[in-house]
Amino acid sequence: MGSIILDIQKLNNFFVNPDNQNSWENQEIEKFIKRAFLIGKDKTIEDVFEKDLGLISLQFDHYEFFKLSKNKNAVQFFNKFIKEKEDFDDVLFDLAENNYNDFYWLYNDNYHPPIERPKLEISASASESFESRNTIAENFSQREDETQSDIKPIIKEIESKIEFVEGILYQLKLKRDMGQENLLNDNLKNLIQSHIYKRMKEGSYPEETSFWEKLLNSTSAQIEEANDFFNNDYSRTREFFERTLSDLENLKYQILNIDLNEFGADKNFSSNLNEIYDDSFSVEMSSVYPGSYDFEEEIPETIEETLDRLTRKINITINKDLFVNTFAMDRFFTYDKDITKMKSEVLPIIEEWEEE
Amino acid sequence: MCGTCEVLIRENYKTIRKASLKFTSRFVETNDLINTVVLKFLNWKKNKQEANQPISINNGFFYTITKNAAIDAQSIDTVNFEDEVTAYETNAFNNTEIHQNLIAKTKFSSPENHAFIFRYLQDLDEKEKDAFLSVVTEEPVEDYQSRNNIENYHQALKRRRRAFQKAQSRLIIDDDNVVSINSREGL
Repeated sequence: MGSIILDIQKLNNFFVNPDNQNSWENQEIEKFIKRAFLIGKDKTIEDVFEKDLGLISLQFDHYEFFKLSKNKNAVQFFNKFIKEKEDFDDVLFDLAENNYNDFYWLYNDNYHPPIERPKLEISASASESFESRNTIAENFSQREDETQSDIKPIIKEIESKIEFVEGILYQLKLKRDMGQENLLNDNLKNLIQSHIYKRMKEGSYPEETSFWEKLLNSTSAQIEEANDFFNNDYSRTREFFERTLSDLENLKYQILNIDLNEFGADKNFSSNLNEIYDDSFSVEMSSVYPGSYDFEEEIPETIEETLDRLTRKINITINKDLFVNTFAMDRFFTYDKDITKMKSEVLPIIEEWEEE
Repeated sequence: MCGTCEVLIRENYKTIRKASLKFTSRFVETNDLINTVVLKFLNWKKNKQEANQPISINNGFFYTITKNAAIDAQSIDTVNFEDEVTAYETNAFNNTEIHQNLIAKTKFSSPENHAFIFRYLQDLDEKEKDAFLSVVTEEPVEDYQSRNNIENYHQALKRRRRAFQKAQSRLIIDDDNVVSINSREGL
């Protein structure tokens, strides 16, 4: 009994013919695949891809493995597998049916597949602004009223745009010198000039000299254009992105600091609500602390705490590596899609009521 | 009397429809059962009021009436539909027209609508129909659990999930463009 060098091709072969009756190697591959399918529930990525490898030597990482969720044979194998693991299926169904929004936002915030997301280098100054954005986001998440949850998608959209613009700006600043150096290649012009001179000395035909002179002129024009770009267009581009960044941050600030009291329609409601809240809070606190009291800010939930909350009723523990398990996530999304479709068809008929 | 009748029927007509779908399959059959259930309810309410007793309706109430009515309808010896109608007409005073209107509104409006729902229900047994309809009409799992006396949330959810999956197969049969879990198996 030796070790198994497992690569994607071997996995594909296994999914085509998952017969393990007469093959020790296939039995081991099947065990590995089933452990990987459980990532997010009973297993973590570390458990499966680093710790419990046994005799298997992996030639791929977990991203490569979960890309197999596009493979029909692999999906078929997963569907068969999950029929035997009903608890896992139950939790995916419960999340789709009863906690879709909370779970989806958590997934959206925390799952960033490396191949789908452009990798942007972040400077020290840029990371600072990211941190401050995170702080604002944390503050934001502490606000729990309905208005705040309604605007969350808007803020998220603005934040993604800010991130994008910051990335471009950083790249613009970082690459300016390098770009200028590489684009304004005086060396090329010099090389062509030397070549023309050399050929003239060797007695070249006038047509050939003319040909090289045209190329030299075109190189000179390109250098002028590049100079023009770096002196004018580049600055305009940078200014445009800086202005855009500032506008987006201002927009976000304004949305995060909406004061409902400023809007006539909600004025009474809002002030009444605040009064009621203030009163009940004062009474409550004064009974506990007759003197002064310190208001301690609520600490935002961690991902694990949110996942625990979402699965508390069903009493099944899941972990954040579930987001990477695209087999399970696809099943979750399919449940949601099908539930939504069936609801949209059945509910209007059940709810139909003819008014007088 | 009729003000409260209308309020109570309007609060519960969706449950009456769902409960009737659970025990019947054809359009006429379902609407007959709805008719009986509403009549029974109106009689029961009238009797309670006359006896000066509180009218309390829990979330399993209409399922129980419907189940009993469905059993009665299936057993020739115990069918007493005429008696129900007579009792209703005797007790209804001058509100017959209003009550008939409520019954008519509670019924399914067309065979097409009924058939549209039934394409999902046709392969399901009574319990599965109940579970499926519970999911697609947004009944909380806890309510479904309590009216079916299911021990815990997880068991109730499992029952709903299994019924839903069974109905899901209809999506592939009826609509080739819809990709569901089962259809993914054939990708």
